[in-house]
Amino acid sequence: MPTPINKADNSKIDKINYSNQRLFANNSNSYTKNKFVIEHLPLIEENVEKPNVPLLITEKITMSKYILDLKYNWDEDGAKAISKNAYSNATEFLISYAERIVDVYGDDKDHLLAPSISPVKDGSVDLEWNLTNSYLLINFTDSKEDFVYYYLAFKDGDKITFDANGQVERKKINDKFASYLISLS
Amino acid sequence: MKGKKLTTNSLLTSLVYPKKIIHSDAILYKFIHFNTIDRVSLKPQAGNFKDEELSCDWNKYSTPEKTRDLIGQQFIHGTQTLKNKNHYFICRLEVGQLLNLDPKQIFKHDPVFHFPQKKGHPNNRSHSLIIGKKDAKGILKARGQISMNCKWVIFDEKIFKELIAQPLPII
Repeated sequence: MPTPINKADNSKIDKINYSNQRLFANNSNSYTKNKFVIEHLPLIEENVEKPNVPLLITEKITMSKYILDLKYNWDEDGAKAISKNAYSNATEFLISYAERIVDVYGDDKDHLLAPSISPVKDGSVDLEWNLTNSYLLINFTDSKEDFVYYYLAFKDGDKITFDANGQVERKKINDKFASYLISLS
Repeated sequence: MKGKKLTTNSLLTSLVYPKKIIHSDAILYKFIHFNTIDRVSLKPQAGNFKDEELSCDWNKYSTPEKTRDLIGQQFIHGTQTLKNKNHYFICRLEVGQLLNLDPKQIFKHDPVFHFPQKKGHPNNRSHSLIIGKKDAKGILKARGQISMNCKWVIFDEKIFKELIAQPLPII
């Protein structure tokens, strides 16, 4: 379960539960699965077939592989090399949710937008959706902890209308969190 | 001796560049290395804003161009080699938009002055700090909100794409 840890915002979580219902309302599986190969996906397996992952997501993962080549001081300001485990944790998490959303919705590319997959100077990796009406930041370290932390915000122009810090299980799909992901726009 | 030297320099700095209070209408300029810009959206990534003491330049004493020029007078971390200012772009942060961060942040004017000027550590009257944990105990709000609020003031897509096409030399 995603656990909001910002108590002040707990009461607002239910306001976006509508998308949870939307997630299950369209569980028809009537789409044709889009099969393709992810080439050289690092640390998961090479040439893994990921039939349910939208092309935009796999392309973004492929583009992000430069992160693994960043050596110490890659920002010229003392940044650590990026942990392979942190990168793997981030990409596996993204693929898992992309597959879940496609399982439910079909392979309409608009249901899950591709995040920025980015290096952090402490060696961790962020998934970041910095969008017009919403924002989501999830940080992945090389820790074996079961949970990862996130910050979620919805906004109207520059004004934030809802936000919350929270944590979500790293390896287990949570449909409420999936509903957050498809709410991003 | 070391402590006395620091105190003397602090006193000198305060005489030459007195510290001022940063108000909510201030704008801070933050330099962004090209490795920390998203290659599709072309936005600065949240990883830029993790430092507990985040260095910026205050618009009271600087401009985006001056901030970028100063980068070229700084040493690359751990070396005696000057940074290439063309590896950096500049974004702006409005202090008024960052007053409700969690954890709370302190905006501190922190001018840098040495006489004579130290190579690799240029004098900078506008130098300021956003002080506070940016993602303590899993609370990513501060880092996320800074990332949301930054806007480019110097960015060139063509130069950026040339930079990412060729990796940085190993230092």
